[in-house]
Amino acid sequence: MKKIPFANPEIVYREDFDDWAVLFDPDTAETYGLDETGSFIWKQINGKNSVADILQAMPAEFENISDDAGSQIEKFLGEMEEKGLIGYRK
Amino acid sequence: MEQTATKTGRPPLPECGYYLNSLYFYITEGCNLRCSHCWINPPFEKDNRAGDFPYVDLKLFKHIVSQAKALGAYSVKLSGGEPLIHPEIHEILDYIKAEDLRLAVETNATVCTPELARKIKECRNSFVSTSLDGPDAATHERVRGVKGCFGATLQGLRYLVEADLNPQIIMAVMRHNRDKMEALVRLAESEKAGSVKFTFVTSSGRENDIAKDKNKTLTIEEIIETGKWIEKELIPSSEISIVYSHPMAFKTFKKAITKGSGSCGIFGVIGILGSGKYALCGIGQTILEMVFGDAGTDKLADIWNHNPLINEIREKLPRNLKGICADCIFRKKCLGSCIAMNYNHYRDLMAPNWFCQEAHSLGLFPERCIIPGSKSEYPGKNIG
Repeated sequence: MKKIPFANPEIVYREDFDDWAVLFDPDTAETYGLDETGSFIWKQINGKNSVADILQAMPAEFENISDDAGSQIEKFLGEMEEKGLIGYRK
Repeated sequence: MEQTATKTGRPPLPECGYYLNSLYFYITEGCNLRCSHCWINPPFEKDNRAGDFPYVDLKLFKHIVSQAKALGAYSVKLSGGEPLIHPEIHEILDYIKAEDLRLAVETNATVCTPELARKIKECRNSFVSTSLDGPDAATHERVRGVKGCFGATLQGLRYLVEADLNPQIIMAVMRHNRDKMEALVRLAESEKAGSVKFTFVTSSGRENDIAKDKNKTLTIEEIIETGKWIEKELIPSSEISIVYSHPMAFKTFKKAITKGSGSCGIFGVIGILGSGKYALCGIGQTILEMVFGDAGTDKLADIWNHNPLINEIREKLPRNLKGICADCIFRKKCLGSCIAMNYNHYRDLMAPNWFCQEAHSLGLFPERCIIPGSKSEYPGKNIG
């Protein structure tokens, strides 16, 4: 069964001119930085895209996608889930 | 019950729940320069001796450090006045080395010698910052108030470089030297300094000559614009590391997140003044309510664990920060950037960062850092 990540709707997403972005959790006042790749992945999390869909979208934005990109995305999403930034739909 | 060391080598967490990480020693009240913008405004000592003014002697220094280590302290910062004119500076550096403490030194370097530089280097993770307010004697000495101090600082800087300390040059930017910032970076490159830091002198409630004349300092708008110029033009033009003192909200997200620069260290720091008093930091020299006790008679553990003002800060920060800080996405990381400076400006421990608040009142605070739906209001105090 495909797991579909969705963003916590309370989380505030802000971008900077240097391609970095920040996620702000109003409940905890914690801020989390996202580099260009993390920012791209966050924007793909729309409650419809699976990990495979996100992986498929990456070559249009980035060159030299590594072979283990899928597992890296899963790890990244797992960390965001632990922090309460995303959840999963099954 | 007997306390035992933790597995990490640190002592057990103090009763208050916070380790004391670092001691900020303003080890002498005397200074051999007369800087027009100095917020501590120490007495001038023309003979390069600190002995005429209150200073923390070696015995008291050891007494404080031994108590602080039991609370978790692993580093000390030496500032002043001018720390290198302290009459027992050699012995103090020997003791810091023997205790394996990390060391930071803020000095004008005018009396630095090869031996002092070597002793600083021998301490763990030692870091030195040296003030240089321009690339030439006229610009620098106009700020520092003593003829010949430019050459003395440059010589001291060279000793620090030769000792492989990678000293940081700190330039206090005002109107008269704003156009010399790039030249200072080039000087730092040629002298092989480790980095350059720009701080911006403002008229924020400081009772000194510069503060009283707003024409001598940059406006909030100019400071913000200069920060953007540093980021976009000066930093890419140099191999040397360049930092600037703007609050976190005015830095790039990458810098704010990865460097963590501009955050107040209040949860792990206590200041010790030349008079031997414990204080929030150097602010205790000018604001008496920020003095917590006497190192000669009071136990540091009692102050660290039970002082009502320190505990009030712990309880309220960052949740009760006011004004624009309450509405900023970086409030938990930044902690108001500098509680002492904010208190100095507003006489309110939970006051917003004065620079951010004034920028906000001028419509210049970065929108990208404001939490949606916020209404930050705080009584204004026109500065800059």
